[in-house]
This record gives sequence, structure tokens and C-alpha cells, in this order.
Amino acid sequence: MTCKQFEAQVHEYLRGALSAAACAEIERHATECAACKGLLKRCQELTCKEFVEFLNDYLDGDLDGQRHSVFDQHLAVCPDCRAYVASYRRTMELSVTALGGELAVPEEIPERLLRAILDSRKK
Amino acid sequence: MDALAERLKAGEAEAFEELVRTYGGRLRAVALSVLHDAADADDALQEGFLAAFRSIGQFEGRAQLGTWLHRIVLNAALMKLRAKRSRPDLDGEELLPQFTSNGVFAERQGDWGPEGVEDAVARNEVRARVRECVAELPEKFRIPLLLRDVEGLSAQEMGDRLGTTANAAKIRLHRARQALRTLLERQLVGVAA
Repeated sequence: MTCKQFEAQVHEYLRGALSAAACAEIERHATECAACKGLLKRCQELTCKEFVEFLNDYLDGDLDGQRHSVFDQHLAVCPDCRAYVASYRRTMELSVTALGGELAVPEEIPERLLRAILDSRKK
Repeated sequence: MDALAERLKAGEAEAFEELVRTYGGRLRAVALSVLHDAADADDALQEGFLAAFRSIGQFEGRAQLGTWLHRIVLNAALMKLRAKRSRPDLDGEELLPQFTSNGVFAERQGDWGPEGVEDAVARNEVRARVRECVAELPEKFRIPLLLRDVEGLSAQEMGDRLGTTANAAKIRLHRARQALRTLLERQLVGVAA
């Protein structure tokens, strides 16, 4: 197994989605290659679940420097979290666009509706 | 605080009329943009104004009066939209991401973050679908989202409004965005495909 193949499969390994033979290959490679062993360790240091749990703090810059860099490292090696961050950011933008501002040109409220609203207040 | 808000709080009848005259037309357009039906929009506007009249005592002037009203009328319109679609109420927890026992995403995450979504459908169509998704959210998620994205409140201000701490409000907003993301993925990625 090459380091590139290891990197491509490490998340599937952690997800439990690989066959027993493929898992064995990953584990063997990790014992032979210090760099990939380190990558596996970094992947295990912060799980996707923890990453997502604190994603808002990460995006708001509310994590301390060391913690922030652990998140950066996770993001660098985790395609799922990269995809999640991109879609989470897009969600934030779409929500603001759809819910806020850009009101139609103000028009007058019909008199009958205005009266109905004010009358209902008195009931 | 806004002089009009002070007069409303004092219960001045003319102030209520001024409020409806000033903001009614604009907010009717907001309700119409959500509901696409004039009669439904008028109902939502009326319900929104009534809710505002009832809660004017809680208006603290942190947001502009118009922004505060916008959020209330928008919420009334979204609730009406949801009632019209008569979908079962979501608990919301099922919309949060799922992980394996190792803490890894249980499913591969699709990348729909970039602008591509808007290329597939008209922008207004996307806005309408986003609103439908917000309408589907349970209240515990919908309200923090409206407080932030419509009124622009800080975590502390949201906490005050929701009767909780700033940190708890921040977490609720984060969960709301995760839930909305799941609904958007179902709606928008389906459209783009």
C-alpha cells in the first residue's frame, strides 16, 4: 500500500467501511510508515463528531490557538468534514438571504386590512 | 428606544395605527413572498401584528422596531406555510448528523457548498425552498435562526430573549443550522441533480 492509498482510505477505515483484508493492510502500513502512523493518530485525536460539535466555535474563531490548529489538521485530512463545512457555510448564507432584507418596495396596506388588524386588537 | 415603541408600550391607540400604516405594506409583501396567496398572507400579517401587540412589552430596542416586526410576521407566515403543507412536526434531532461509534460520519458527506446549487434553479426558487425548509424546522430551532438571521442578535441577546445563557443560545443556533443544512441538502441537491 502506498501512502497516497493510505490517505485515501483512512477515513473509510475509521468509519468501519473497509473489509477485514483492507483493514489489515491499513494497519500494517501504519506500523511500517511513521508519517501515516502520525496521520492516523491525528485523525483519531479529533473525531468528526467532535469537529461538528464545535464547528460554530471554529468558524467564529472562538477556539484557542492550539485547539484551532487541531481543527485545521483534521480538516486537512478529512474530506467529509471539508464537505460538511462548505455546506454548513452555504446554509448560513442561504438562510440570511432567504430570511433577511431585500424587501419589496414598500406599498400601502389596504385600508380594510389595516382596520381588521386594529379591530382585532380590541377584541 | 424608538419613540414609536415608547408610545406603543404606553398603549397609545394612535401609535398602533401608525405602526400598522408604517410597516403593514412592507410586511404584507414579506408574508406574500412566503405564502404566494394574498388571503393567507393577510391572515399571517394579522396574526403577526397581534402577536407583536401582545409582546410589545418585551421589545427592548436592541433591534430596530421594523426588524423586530419583520421577524414576528415572518415567523407567522412560516408557521402558516407549514400548516398548509400539513407535514408531521419534526422533533429536529433526526436532522442532526449521524456518526459511527468511532465518531466518524456515518455516511459520506456530499459537497454542495459552492455556488453550483444556484446555477441549477432560479435564485427566487432557491429562496422559496429555503423558507419552506425553515418552516419545517421545529420551533426550538426556527426561533434562534430567525433571531440571528433576521434580527441579527448576538448570542447574549438571543440568550436573553430565549430565557437562557448566551452559550446555550449559541449551541441552539448551531443545532438549528445543522438541521436546516440537512433539510436543504434534501431539497436543493435533489433539485440540482
